[in-house]
Amino acid sequence: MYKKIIFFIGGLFFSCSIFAQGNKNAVDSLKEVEKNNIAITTLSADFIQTKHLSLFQEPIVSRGKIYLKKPGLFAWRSTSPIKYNMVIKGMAIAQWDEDSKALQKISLNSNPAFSTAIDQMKLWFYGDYAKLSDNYEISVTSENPLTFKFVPHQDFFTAKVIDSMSVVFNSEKSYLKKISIAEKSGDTMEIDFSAVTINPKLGEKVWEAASAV
Amino acid sequence: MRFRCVVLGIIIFLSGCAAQVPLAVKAQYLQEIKSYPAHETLFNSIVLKYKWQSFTVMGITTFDEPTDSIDVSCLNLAGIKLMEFSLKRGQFVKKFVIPWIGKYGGDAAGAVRDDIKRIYFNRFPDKNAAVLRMGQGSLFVERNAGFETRYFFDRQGQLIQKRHYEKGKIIWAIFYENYKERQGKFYPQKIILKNHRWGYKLEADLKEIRK
Repeated sequence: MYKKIIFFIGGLFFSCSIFAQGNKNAVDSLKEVEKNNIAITTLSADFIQTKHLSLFQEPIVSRGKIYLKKPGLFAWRSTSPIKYNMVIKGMAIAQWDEDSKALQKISLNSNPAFSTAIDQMKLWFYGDYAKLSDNYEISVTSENPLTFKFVPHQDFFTAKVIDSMSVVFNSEKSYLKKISIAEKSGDTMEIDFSAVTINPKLGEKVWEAASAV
Repeated sequence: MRFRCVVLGIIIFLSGCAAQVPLAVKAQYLQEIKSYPAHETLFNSIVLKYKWQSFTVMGITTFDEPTDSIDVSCLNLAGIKLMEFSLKRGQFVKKFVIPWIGKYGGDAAGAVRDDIKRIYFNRFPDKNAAVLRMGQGSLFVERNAGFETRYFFDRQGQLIQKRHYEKGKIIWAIFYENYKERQGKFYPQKIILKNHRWGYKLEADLKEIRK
């Protein structure tokens, strides 16, 4: 299961890589974002995740907050429709939800696939774009707001489930504003970020999955 | 609610379980119990408990009992799709199961289909079911070739429990709890399925009723 969660995180949290041989303008633009991102050490933001399922008319909408602290802390805290917390701390992932009230811990050491996806996630959230490899065709679809489109190469495993991803950056070109993922199944997922706070002081409880913030 | 079921069960047991009511009374009982929508789209959170482990998912289910049709999408709490299928007239026309579930073998989609049918289909006893006893509620029993399904209704006529037996051994039980009226219909806010054969338990909390 966790391999799939990883896969999800990898896809959801932008486990995409720049096609280094591709659009030079796109690569340069991403480098600019990376440069702007360096000054960010902590961040918090509200998110709205909208999942459109091809079988159903109405989407599933989740709301919550994300937190990150470089170099190794990330938290995803949904407040609706179900309270759910996922905290990544170094090589460990902890999950908690209000319905089961169970705290689950996963070691990335014993889940190499998960570890790979987390690494990809960090690339995006931590702005370390120079590490992005060449698994995607990348293009700039808008300069204002700066928007990239990623299409996975057919020989990349992500191509089996994802058609394309669109990533929108904020006006300062320093952080993510919106992610859109179009899946082969016809499903789509969008995550909008708002109320972004750069370099806030984050309490220790943020990194405890079973704790309220 | 379950306590009332237990009490009802004890009363039935103590009374010898043989107090079948006259047909006229049975007809009245059948009129008093509630029937439920045969077509709905529901959004639930579902906790699966198995061997001291629990796992929570989100599920959207559309069912249509008259046509034996079900659409289901099941996602983990971060939004990744774990399973999806579409059943039309009893046949799968679309089926997706994420590989990590599939690697354990078995028919995961089939198991989910069966549980959905147990929960949402056949919530009204057959007209030929025996009525063994009325106390605070009623109990209807369907028997068929070694199988037995018992339906417990409370004094308001709400289905509060279904139990299925094979050769006298309980196979599964479903508890319907905390009914609330929404848009003129009654919905249990919590449904618990205990599968005694395979040793797992599902707890579904109703989040939304969708069009």
